[in-house]
Amino acid sequence: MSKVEDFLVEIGIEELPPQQIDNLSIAFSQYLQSCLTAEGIAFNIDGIKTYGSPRRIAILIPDVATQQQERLIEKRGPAITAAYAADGTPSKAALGFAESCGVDIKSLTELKTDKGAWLYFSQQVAGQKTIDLLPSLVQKALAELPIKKPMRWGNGEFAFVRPVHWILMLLGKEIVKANIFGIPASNISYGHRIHAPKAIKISSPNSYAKQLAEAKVIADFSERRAYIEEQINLLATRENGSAVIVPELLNMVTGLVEHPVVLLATFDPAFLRVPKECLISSMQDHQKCFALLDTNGQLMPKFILVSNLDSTDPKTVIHGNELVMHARLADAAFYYDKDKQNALESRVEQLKTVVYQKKLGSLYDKVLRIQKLAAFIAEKINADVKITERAAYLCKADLLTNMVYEFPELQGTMGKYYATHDGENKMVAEALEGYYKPRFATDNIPDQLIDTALALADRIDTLAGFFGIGLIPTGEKDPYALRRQAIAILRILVDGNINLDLATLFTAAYNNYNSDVQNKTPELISFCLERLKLLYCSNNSELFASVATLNITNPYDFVERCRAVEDFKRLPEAANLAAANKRVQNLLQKNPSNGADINKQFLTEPAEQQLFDALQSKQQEITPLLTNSNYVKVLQSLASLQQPVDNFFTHVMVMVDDEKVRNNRLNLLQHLRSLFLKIADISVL
Amino acid sequence: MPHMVFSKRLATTMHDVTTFQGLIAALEGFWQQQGCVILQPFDLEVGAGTFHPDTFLRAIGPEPWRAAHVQASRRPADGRYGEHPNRGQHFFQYQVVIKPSPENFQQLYLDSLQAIGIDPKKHDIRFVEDNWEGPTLGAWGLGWEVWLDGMEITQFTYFQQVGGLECKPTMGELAYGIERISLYLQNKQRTQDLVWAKGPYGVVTYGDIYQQNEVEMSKYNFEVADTQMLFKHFDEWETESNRMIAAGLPLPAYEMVLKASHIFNLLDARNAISVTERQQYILRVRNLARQVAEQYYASREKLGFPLCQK
Repeated sequence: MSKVEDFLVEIGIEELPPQQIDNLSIAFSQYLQSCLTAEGIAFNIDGIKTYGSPRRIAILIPDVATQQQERLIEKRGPAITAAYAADGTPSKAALGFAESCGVDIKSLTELKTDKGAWLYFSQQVAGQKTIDLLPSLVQKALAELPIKKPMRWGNGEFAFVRPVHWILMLLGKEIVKANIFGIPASNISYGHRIHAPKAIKISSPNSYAKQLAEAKVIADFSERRAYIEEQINLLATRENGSAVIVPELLNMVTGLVEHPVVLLATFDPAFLRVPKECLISSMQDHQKCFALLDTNGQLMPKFILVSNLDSTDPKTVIHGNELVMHARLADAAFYYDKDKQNALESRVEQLKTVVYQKKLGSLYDKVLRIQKLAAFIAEKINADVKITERAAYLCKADLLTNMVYEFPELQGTMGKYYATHDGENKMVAEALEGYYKPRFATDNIPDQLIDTALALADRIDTLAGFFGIGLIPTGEKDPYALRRQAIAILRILVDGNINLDLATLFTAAYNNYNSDVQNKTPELISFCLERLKLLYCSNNSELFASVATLNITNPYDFVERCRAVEDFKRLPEAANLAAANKRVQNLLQKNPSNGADINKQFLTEPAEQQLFDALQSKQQEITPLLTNSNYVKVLQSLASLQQPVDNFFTHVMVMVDDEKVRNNRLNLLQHLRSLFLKIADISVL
Repeated sequence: MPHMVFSKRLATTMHDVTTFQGLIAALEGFWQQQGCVILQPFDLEVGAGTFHPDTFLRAIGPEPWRAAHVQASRRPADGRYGEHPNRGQHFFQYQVVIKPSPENFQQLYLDSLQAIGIDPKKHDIRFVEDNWEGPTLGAWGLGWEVWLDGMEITQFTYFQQVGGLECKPTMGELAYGIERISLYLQNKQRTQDLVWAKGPYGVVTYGDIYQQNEVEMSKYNFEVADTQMLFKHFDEWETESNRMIAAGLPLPAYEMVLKASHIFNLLDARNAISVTERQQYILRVRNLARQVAEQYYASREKLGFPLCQK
């Protein structure tokens, strides 16, 4: 029965980049685990705790075996053919190998595989003490950490995320003798910089979190985040408001404090004249503060800050933050007022100086292309062409405003505000913001036709351009986020019930490019349809193939057909009909129909007459449904063919000797097949 | 180890930190006690203390260095015609550089705050990641902006590269935003209202000294500066800097770099440089800075790195 102890390692560091803390501690834990496993040191994987705060990352691994497992050391030497001379005397290579293993050649064995035989050495080695192995394992795990920008300090002998100050390593109650970053490991940690500056002797790994809590540090990142969120919400509720909590901001703030103290502050209501998005961005981006909305969703002249101190005078902290906020909001107001002095329209020409992409020209060039394409789309979807063109012309102008320069996430939103101020048509102004939708995976798609035309035009132009100059995403790499663009296009078309063909759209886009940009319409269509498969076919290859084989390149139509097929698959008749279609497909592949009309005279069997009549009536029944693209109804209607089809195959032999009868039957089956193929190829299901 | 000791000796000061000049004197006194050479501001237009040759050049090579000084800084694009509470095109930094960066650098910094009357038990002081990059100097470093109750009061940087050269040992740099700190200590909202001096002849405010300058310089930077002349000067200083590099004179060459750099900032504030050209101008300055750095290193090496011998 081997003994186990808990292992704790803490790296004490100068304030870490807040957004990296959680990732670093998780990565540290994972690397450490794989190092232990590789060395044959057992531990309790379920009880592992990772800690991360501004000044530390720490890992607690419970029940670590104090002794490494016995290991088998194996070495393969030269091939037997090269190991001995004909008379059996060992070669130099063989003797050398034996020497390297520290044994006489006689004690070596042979390793035989189907590829040949080799000299072989194996030895069972006793495990080492874990406590002796830990220093190098920790060092190895630290070296593996994904540090974006390692830095040096002091004399520059070491590199890490930030300068390291202490190393705590305990196996049970015993200090692991290690020296990392030139610092000897100990059982000493430090608490909150201000509240608990003195050294703390950690008595055992298990008491680490508790002792740090006493020293005013919540070491667990998730626990701290949950606590902060709870405190913010409590405070917001007390003010009859709700806090705007963006997950990235919450994470950031969690990475900036060890001892969170949530405080309420106010700002001058006069700033509320500035668009609320600007004020919120200002609070979040610069001050890492949380905005408050009232019950009507209006911004309140208040904000919540998360400090790292139980101040002897919290009013001072609040007052200080209010002063800074005042200055920040004054900046936002300054940008807003300054931006309004120039009409958006007057900025469009300046886009000539902004490179969009070296081979795809300036942003101004892009605007002109978007304008043409948007007009083309607007006409097809019955959006007002003039208004669409105007919106397209202005759609990138806000990128040159001070506000968007300061807060890039406000692109579009500022376009809307400034266009409104310039007295542009309301629909133009709305479109300048609306066409950015969807901004993220769960965002809504544009709800106005003008916005839709512009949203499609911008993204189609981007995809066409980047594919056209060979910047096509491969594997994991998609630096221009083209997949996201394709997904947005699909969502706009499919969820927006926009009946447009990708081939038409991309061809129109390429008409706006010169010959340096190659037409990659086929590649783009398959690129988009791959995403469609994931998005709308639950990555179901058969479902996707049933429509894809028809070369449908209109995403809306494609998905409608898929939905009809899915609906059809739930019908009791589906399985038999799919099988029958498969059979018909195979039959026709080997014996193609001659395409002639079906001759009633040759329909001798009742079963084939019945099928013919059924097909005739179905043909009539589905014609109006097809005109309305009511694919679900079509397939539902065709489902009742199951009985006559099954009956046909039970009683009728297709490949008879009489050529006329045979061809007639093949034509009958071709007719059956063509009815289904109006929707999808259900033979692949 | 990062012990937190607030000695009474540091906390009490003979300087009246509720005046701007008193604050400067207190910082000067503190860093003098830490063994820093108290230097004087550099006499050319610079965007930050980092441009002072005793920071930029001293960060290069193995020689140790400890210095502190006020530096007037100009950032034309930050002008607000004297109307912004704490932003202007001309301001002061208190610059401290120590190489190699001491193990207790953060603690020394906190002690310095204590020495100017900022109590860390009362004020929320935070080290917030801020990675500094000086594209025109080919320099970058990692560190923080230090927050005092949410206000950025100091840039704290461990230099990693200067003029394209690795910094080993590493220079640690503190750049205090002394107007902002003063706003705190004086409980004022506007820089222009800060008391600069208070004495037998009454009070002189920051605004008394600089308000007219802010208004006129903002107007000059944003509206009036002759861009054609500036473009011409930029080219000339670049040529002259190249000539100095060819002549083996890195220090004069560096002054020309600073002049070109300031002219670039002026042109930028005038929106005279297109986004595409902008990068080209930055590269031109950086190219000079890199050559200066290399040549300065060689010249110190030739002298046998004299400060290493002390």
